[in-house]
Amino acid sequence: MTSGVSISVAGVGKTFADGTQALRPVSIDVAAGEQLAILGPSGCGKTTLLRIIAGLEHPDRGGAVLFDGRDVTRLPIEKRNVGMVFQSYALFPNMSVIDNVAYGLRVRGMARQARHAEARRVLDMMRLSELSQRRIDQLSGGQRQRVALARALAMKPGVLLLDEPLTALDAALRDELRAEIDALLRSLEITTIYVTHDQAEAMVLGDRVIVMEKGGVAQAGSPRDIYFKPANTFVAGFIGSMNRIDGPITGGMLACPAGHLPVRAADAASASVRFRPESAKLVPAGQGGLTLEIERVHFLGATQRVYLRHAESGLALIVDGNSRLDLVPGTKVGLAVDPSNFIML
Amino acid sequence: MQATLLRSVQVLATILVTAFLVVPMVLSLMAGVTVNYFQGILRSGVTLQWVAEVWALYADTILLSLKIAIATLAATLAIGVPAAYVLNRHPSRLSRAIEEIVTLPLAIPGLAIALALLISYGSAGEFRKSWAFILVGHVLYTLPFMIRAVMAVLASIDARTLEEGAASLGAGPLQRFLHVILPNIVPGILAGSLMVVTLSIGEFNLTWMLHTPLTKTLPVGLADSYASMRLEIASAYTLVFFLMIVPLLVGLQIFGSFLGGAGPSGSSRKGKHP
Ligand SMILES: Nc1ncnc2c1ncn2[C@@H]1O[C@H](COP(=O)(O)OP(=O)(O)OP(=O)(O)O)[C@@H](O)[C@H]1O
Ligand SMILES: [Mg+2]
Repeated sequence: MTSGVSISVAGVGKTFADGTQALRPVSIDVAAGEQLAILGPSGCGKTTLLRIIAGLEHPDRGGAVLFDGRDVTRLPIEKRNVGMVFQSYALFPNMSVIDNVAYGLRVRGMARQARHAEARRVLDMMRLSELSQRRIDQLSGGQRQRVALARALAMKPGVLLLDEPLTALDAALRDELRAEIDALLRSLEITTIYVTHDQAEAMVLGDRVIVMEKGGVAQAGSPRDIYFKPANTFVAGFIGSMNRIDGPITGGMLACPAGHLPVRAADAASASVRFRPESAKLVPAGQGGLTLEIERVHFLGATQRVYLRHAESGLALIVDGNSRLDLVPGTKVGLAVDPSNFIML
Repeated sequence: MQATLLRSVQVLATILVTAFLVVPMVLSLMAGVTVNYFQGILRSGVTLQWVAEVWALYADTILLSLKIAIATLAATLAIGVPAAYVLNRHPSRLSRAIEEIVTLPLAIPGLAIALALLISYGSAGEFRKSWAFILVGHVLYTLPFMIRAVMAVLASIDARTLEEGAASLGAGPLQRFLHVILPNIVPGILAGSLMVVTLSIGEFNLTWMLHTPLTKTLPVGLADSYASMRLEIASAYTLVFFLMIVPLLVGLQIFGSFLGGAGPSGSSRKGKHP
């Protein structure tokens, strides 16, 4: 429908009037047409960053926002041609669905006939045609969300900014809409910045994911990089589940109360190695480097999650594996981890 | 068995309370069309003579009251709606202080407001003698009601997010106000208007202090007639007051529900998931 603009955020920080530093100066580049996900825990400054890019908030002195190389830092949102989807939707209760969707075109001075035709086209695309005459208070949450998206898309923005658009919806609807939004955005090739605290959402929707922590960028990279090569302990802990074993390394072996594991690392008096639950393998007790006891097994259908525990030291690990394996809590098992699967931080 | 008893008691209590409130009103209105109150309506008969006399004597006070009420409404709309909007959109210590100051006249007796106005402008010749003097008093007195009513609705619709939504679609400040804010605060504006008009028409304390023989409003005239006329005339005056204010209030209510119910809110139903 339209090709997106590239976005450059340069040294953008934000200190609010009450002294809260919501954002330490960050710099981010988003390519035209890229789908960027911003992921982070509550209060880390995701919304603040998005609102600065949108033009709803001014950055601190020294920060700049560029669209296609053009400085828009001082431009108010209404002059930036950004589409925005708010967590609370911000639909106009005094207008019907179609008038909401056509509003951006109305403001641009398009005649009623023309803008309604255009709005109808977008509603068709979002499979909302039957709802066009409804009032907003007659829509379900999922329908409102899609109307909000349709309204933002109708004005053919160069940038689409979404602030946790699915958070208010229940899990099943969230999954459905996530896939729908992804397909739609990829077909439109709009530059998209998607803010969420849900890692699955960030992984699915982001070509690239930026993980934020306490007002700063903890890591930026592809979903794969973020998952398999976390840049620091915060990212490692925040994304997915992670096991951690502490102990000294001597001659390529990590020693811990539950046994020994071969690692590819230099000798160290104390070290931490991390690995994902799916990178370890359960083996008969005595084989593999470690021996632990099965504490609980959570059957999840395709896989099962096994909680292991070393009673004497309290070391607790989780392993995801084949759900056909029948495991009995209380029995001892061995654990093997391929050295290439360790994450050393 | 017990339930029906309880129910009967409830109904009876409701009837008694209603009667307590309504009977004096009805008696007063009846007195206004009674030929001779002391002989009673049954023996002396029904007449519109007193109503006609009231109209002859006090038509100007009635018209002045209407004029002041409309002017007060216009002024409170022009000042109150934008003020409420600004106070809502720019919350700060200053705006909260302003809100309190604006609300102050509510807590101050009308007499004190009148006194303050007399001290400030009492010697301002023409202004003091004109009905505009009363208008200023009424605006001071009713403005908080308008501001409060509009602010309550502004807070309930999350005006800030709505406006940000409109801004993201390219709407400038004026368009946002006219297209999005104003239509969504109509209920608050109507509620405020209703308050302002009724308060202005019925206001006595302040008006009594501010009026001159040439700027008597309806309630002041009413007090006048109670003091100096036959009881029947004063009662007929009440009747006229009722005839004026009731259609006005009903009209405003109908107008309000017409605007509020512009959409098919009666058939409001959540849509099915597709
Ligand atoms: N207008 C404001 N004035 C003062 N502090 C603010 C303001 N807006 C946000 N903050 C603070 O800035 C920090 C970052 O807020 P922000 O809304 O950007 O977080 P977030 O990552 O979007 O969190 P969430 O996931 O809960 O939405 C928080 O500590 C918040 O309290
Ligand atoms: Mg947020």
